[in-house]
Amino acid sequence: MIILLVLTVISIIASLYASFIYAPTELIMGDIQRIFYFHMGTVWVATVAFTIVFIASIMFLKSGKRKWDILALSSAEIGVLFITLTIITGSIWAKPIWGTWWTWDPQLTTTFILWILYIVYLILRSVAGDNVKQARFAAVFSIIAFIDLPLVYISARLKRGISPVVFGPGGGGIESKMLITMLITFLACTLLFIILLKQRILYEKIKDNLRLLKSRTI
Amino acid sequence: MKTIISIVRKDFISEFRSRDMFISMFTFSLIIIFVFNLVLDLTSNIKNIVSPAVLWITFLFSGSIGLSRSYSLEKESEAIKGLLLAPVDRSLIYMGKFFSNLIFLLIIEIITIPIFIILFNYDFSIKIIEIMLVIFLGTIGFSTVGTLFSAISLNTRLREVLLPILYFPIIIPVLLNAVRITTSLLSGESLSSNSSSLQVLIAFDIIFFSAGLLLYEYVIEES
Amino acid sequence: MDYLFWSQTIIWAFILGYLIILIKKSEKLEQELDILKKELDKKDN
Repeated sequence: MIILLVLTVISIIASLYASFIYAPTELIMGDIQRIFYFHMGTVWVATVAFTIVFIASIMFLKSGKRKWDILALSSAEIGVLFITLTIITGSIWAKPIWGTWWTWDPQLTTTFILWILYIVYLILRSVAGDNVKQARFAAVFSIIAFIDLPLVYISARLKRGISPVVFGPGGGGIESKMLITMLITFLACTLLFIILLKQRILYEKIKDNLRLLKSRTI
Repeated sequence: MKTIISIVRKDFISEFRSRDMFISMFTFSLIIIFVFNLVLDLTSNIKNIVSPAVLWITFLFSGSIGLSRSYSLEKESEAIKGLLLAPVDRSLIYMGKFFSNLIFLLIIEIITIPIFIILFNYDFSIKIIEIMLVIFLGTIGFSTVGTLFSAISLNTRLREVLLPILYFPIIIPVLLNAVRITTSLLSGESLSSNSSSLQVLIAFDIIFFSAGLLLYEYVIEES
Repeated sequence: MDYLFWSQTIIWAFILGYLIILIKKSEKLEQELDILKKELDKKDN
């Protein structure tokens, strides 16, 4: 665990260095583009997180085992954290580039709905508490939500949108320094996700043990 | 098959005896349409943009009251327990509820449409058949997700209050596409020019109906 | 550019903060757990 933490912190520092000093300034957008490395990192983590919620929910419904429920809700909580960051960093990036903090283009619309859906999942799950039947409701909801998202994206695309294509110092491919920066940032975000997930799961397990023990002392 | 029909019939009989839910839904739908019509200053420019959205929002809100209907009667929860004791495939119960919700929503919507046409100043010569088709497909979408989720929401502390929170975000693809197609039809375009939206709408219906069939047992089972 | 750097650093710091809070809460709970266990052992003996 400690090793993981150390590695995570190192990679975060490396990512900061790479994003702001090592990487060259983007020709078209300028310095504001630098936040994009982090933004892509959070998008990636959020996607992984919600896929885990989906799979864990299915396993929970099938097996009924608490460990899947724990995995799902922990991953969802951290996923919501990262999606919030995605929206914030995306917004910071968008204001100087598009001239607006927000717009209803397909990407953003889907991201926003994603955010809402998983907040609803967390609400549903927390209303359930220890009740297993209601915990299953949350799992059902997350499965529906996951299936729904591609449809939301396609539907939003059928109304035109502004989506950006944002790589490269001058259009076309991505320059190698930027690629390296991107990879380092991805690594940092992924490590952060893993360590947060493990800790959150651990916390939940301790709570379970505590509850179990308390019921025995009565 | 018989089971499904019997569930649908049972829902209808119990609804017919106490028609209050039906009347409430219809009244609510009227109120929404009137309020929108009153509050929005409709010049002919924006009318075509705004009124399809108003129509579908009306359907959405008045529909969401009706979706809780099929579970909330006290007799109903006893009836469900009875059904569960019998070795009935849970997906059949889902289908029965789905159909009764569907028919119920459609009735309300069909009655609402003439009022909409009159209030929002459309000719009755508009493509009524095509619009009906879109409404039918959209309502199927509402019913697939709504039947599943109302079973969930009524089993929680928050009961009916939870349903819109669960249901509205999920139903967005239906709304987006249905409004888009309706707007296009009301402007005189043909149905075929909206083929991609139609496909998405149909895909939604199929996907979520299947999902409902598969997931319903996890929602209705006593723990 | 400075503001960008600091805003990103602050975001990382927040996330690490969340992590640290989680760790602290877990440790506190774990202590409770140990205390309860000891009490149970005493009772059994």
